[in-house]
Amino acid sequence: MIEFPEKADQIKRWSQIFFFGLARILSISIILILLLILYFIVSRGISVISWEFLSAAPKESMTQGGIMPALVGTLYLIFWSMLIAFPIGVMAGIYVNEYSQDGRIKRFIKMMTNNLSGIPSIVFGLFGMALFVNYLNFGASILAGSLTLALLSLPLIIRTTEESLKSVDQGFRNGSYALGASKLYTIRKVVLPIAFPNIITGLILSIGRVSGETAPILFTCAAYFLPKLPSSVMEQCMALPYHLYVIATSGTDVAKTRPMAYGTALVLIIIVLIVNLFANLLRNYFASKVKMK
Amino acid sequence: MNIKIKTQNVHLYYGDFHALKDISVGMYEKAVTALIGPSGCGKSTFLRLFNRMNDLIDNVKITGEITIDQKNIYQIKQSHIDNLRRNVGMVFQKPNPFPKTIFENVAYGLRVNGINQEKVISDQVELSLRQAALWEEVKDKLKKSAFELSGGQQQRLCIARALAVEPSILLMDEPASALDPISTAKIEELIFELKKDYTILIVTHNMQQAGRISDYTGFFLNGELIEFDETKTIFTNPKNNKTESYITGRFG
Repeated sequence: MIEFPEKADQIKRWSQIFFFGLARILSISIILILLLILYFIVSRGISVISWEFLSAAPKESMTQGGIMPALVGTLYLIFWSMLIAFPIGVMAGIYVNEYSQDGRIKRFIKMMTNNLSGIPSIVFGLFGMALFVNYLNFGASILAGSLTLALLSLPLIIRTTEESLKSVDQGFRNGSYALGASKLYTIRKVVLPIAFPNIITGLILSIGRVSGETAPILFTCAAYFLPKLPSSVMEQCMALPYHLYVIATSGTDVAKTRPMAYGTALVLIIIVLIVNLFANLLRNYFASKVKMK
Repeated sequence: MNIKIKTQNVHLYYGDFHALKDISVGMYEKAVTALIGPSGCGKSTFLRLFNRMNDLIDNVKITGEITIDQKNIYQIKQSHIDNLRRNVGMVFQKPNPFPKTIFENVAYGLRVNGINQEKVISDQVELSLRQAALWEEVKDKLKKSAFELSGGQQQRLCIARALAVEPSILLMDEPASALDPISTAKIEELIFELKKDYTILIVTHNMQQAGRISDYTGFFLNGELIEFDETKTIFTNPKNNKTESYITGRFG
């Protein structure tokens, strides 16, 4: 005879409530921590945000004025590093996933990209200084800094490209091959359009990372203070994370510049959010061109 | 009737696995040939010989002679494989339309071939959709995504896509196995129409289907072609005991 024992049902019910409750609390606490950080930065930084803060250079040994050169410098670094790293990373990801046969070379490339992503950013900074600044003689410059940041973000872009391509159903490729399309044509017209929105996620993550890094640009690009904007990629520039570090630790009057440090942090966060917003629009645009539904 | 496709002592290995064993057979032009047999017997592998889709799998070794119109398709240049595949269309088990519009799905093969006059393309798209008995259902929504169609319609779209590049042979790998009975009946009707112009090879799990639609049937077991004959002979008077056991449902 079939039975429905009450006690076992109670245990089942309570263990469900317990584990899902725990998961819910943990995920809510992550959101709370995020909000807390935002509140912390916004409440202390909002008071210094003004048109002058955004549009003027630092003055009076950085106790006055604004952060315009650092803001523009960070945008330069994002632009140039992504211009270098995104195409190279995407092509490398295509090679690894679509062309290389399973075997030693592929395993080696995968191992190296994983290792590369584990290297501390200060080591990238040192390497960038040795290779780009000294050996290739670019000097400390936007070019040297962008190349170093590009190296730093390559593993992430390669990995996301590879994963995005891997998730494209093999049936789409077979359908294309069966119509006489070459591998290159199939990748261009079928595989890449499907994978591209996800590939852009890698771009978004890289932008977040690049815009916040200090160590890689410390020796390769960042200037302590520049009253005007750089006129070519061979010049140094200021950058928000480095500027933040400077006015928070080694300025002339750290206590006096503290609110400006929070303001700088706030601007940095807002810049990352705005750039990500644009990248998201780009992703939605590419996603809308693929008629999945 | 002419023999269109011929294999002579063909063996195929996936690494160490001997998947096709010494297969010699001729298949007739403008007829439907069904390939039946239990799962893993090699019938799908056999089908993929003729558009060289097995080449895409690592560690495949093929020996023997495979000819289409008396030309050995394994002695052509690498760059001619594309031409071969245009001549030998394929429809897969799971409908696999591209995530593009209905129109662009059918136009894809034409664009692959470098055809870019829009008038030529749109005429051919309409013709192919008509041939695949799908035109009336989709003519008002050609710009909609192919994914809006039902599974059966998607499969007929894939057939239209294959027909658009005007192949002479159509390979079908269990084209109705993922479909409901009504969609299956439509595909079968369609196959019956298409054999007037095309040489059709169809892999099927469904013996009634093989009996209904095919002129010839080959029975595969463990990589061997056990018996090949006219369908009515295979189903009423098979020469081999194994064939008889399979079609009467004793195994498989």
